[in-house]
Amino acid sequence: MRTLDLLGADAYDADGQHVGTVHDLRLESGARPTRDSGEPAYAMGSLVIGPAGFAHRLGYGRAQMAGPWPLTLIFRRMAARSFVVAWADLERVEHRKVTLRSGADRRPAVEES
Amino acid sequence: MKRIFAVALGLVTAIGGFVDIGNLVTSGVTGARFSMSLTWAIVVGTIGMTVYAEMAGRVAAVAGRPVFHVVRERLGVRFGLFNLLACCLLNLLTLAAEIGGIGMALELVSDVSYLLWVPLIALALWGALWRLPFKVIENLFGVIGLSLLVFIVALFWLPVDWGSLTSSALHPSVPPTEAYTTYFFYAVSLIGACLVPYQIIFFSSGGVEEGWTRSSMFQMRLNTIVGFPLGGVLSIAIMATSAVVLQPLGTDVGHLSQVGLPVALALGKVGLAFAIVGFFAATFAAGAEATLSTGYAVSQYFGWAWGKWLRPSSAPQFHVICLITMILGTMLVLTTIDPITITLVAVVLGAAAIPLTFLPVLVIANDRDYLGDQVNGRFANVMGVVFLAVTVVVSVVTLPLLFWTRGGA
Amino acid sequence: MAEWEWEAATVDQLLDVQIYAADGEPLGKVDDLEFTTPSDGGAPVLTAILCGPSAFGPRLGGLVGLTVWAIGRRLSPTGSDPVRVPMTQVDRVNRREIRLRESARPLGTHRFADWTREHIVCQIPGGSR
Repeated sequence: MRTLDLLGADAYDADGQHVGTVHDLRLESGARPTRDSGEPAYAMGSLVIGPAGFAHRLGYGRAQMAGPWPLTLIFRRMAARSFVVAWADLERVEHRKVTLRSGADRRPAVEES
Repeated sequence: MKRIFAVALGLVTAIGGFVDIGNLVTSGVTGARFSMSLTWAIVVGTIGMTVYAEMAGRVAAVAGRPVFHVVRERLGVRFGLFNLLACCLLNLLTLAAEIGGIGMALELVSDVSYLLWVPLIALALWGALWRLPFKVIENLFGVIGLSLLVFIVALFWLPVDWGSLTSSALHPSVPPTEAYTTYFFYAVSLIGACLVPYQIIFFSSGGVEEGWTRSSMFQMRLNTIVGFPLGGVLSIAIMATSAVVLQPLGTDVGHLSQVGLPVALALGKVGLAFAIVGFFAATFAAGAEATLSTGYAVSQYFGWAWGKWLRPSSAPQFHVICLITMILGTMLVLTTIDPITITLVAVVLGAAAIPLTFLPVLVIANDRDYLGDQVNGRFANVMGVVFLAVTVVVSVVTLPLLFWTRGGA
Repeated sequence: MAEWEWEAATVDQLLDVQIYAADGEPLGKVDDLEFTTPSDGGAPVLTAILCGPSAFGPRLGGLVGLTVWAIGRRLSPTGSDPVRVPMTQVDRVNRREIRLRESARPLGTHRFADWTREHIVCQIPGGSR
């Protein structure tokens, strides 16, 4: 499975409403090792879904950007329109389409600075 | 003498960027047509370039990465590629303009058509890039380029009405014979000619070639403070000599030879010789920068080994890209398109492409993951945003003005 | 154990990061990532980094990307596979770079450089130094 199978995929909630596109995948450690290695691997923990990933890719979703002021304002606001859904909260994952479980918990995508 | 070599990178970047063929001719033209009324454009371009070069230099020194390295990471594959292609095209046009420019300089002294000089010039430029270490290229062209200081000398030698010159600079006005649109076209051309992307690519990659580290911050800043303002001063001096000599005569500048005329009038053959040597060094430096910048940009986008400090066998793709750039640039000149036309297109395209290059620099210079505590302070950010806005304005108006004024006719 | 220098790694941040060999030699950029869904149906696990035109092309998208992918497929001796760097060969991962282990011998990353060196650089006088 490649990143493109999920990145850019359309996301729908349990009622069939389009809620955004998947523009990032968060990884978490501690998965059981695959047969390739003997160490705990990194697995997909959650998906970041929202209108566009540009603000996140520039780095404004996290707290490490020092500015400049107009750009932080604009981009953090853009980044805040996305939300995070855990992998376990996905009802169905198909090629370039994901469906959320009903009542899936949506966490904010922007780190508090 | 050693002190000069410490700022050689800043010097050579500025000389190759600020007084290359595009700037030389534009400064001459504007001086002849508008006296000193476009001085502010050179000042704006100089400050903008200094601010952004300092940011790019800081990233090179602290993070050890040149700017183009991170363009793909931050802008993504597609924007990054668009940026790359725009830079490559611009570099190619610039290289062709510079080779044509050197040819015209040689035509001045030899009466042999510039087209016959082109293959020799290309070979010489390639030979220098292939064999000479980065430091030698830097020091050689940086120092020889300083002979353009003869323009400042000439300015003091000529009978100059300093009062009217300074008032023209401080109170810009459009002469009744010229249209406002032409005036603004030359304004954006001058600003654009000062802010060409290859300077940033060359300066930041050059900083890594020089092995700058966190402790090199002072040296890096010295390079930017000495190099670019000096480039700006030289441009203004060229504009001034044209204003003093050519404007009263109503002469327009259509050829490189006319830019050197004021110096010849003031200081005779010796002065002219210095000017021509200076033209030669500046256009050669610009050609080298444009070629190397293409190699840097492409290699850094794809993640290949790059750098003149590596032997060709250790960085094969980088050296081959430089070679291909040289070949394509030479071919472009040999199509006998007027080098001045190529220069014009290069300047306009450059003006349109600057925001693409500046935005990643500004963003990365604010990223604590890369710079830690050396991220932009408030001053750098204010200046950065202001000049980003300036470049966006320049970028938007440049093409319409080009068509509206028919290339500043 | 691969050292991950930041906790919440995201795919977007991992993509397009520069890969270095243990000795600092640049090998390329992360063009794509390979995930394997475990047999017991858990979340997909990151198993390898992918480099090369066949990984880069699809990310570019559109007609250009298709062309790049097709070129990559044509040039690759083993068919359509891009260069695969298993995560076991990775020593350190952070936002700025991915560094491989001393013992890592990724297959194929040097192919293009070797070809260019052999066919072009060495043909130019002074190139083989």
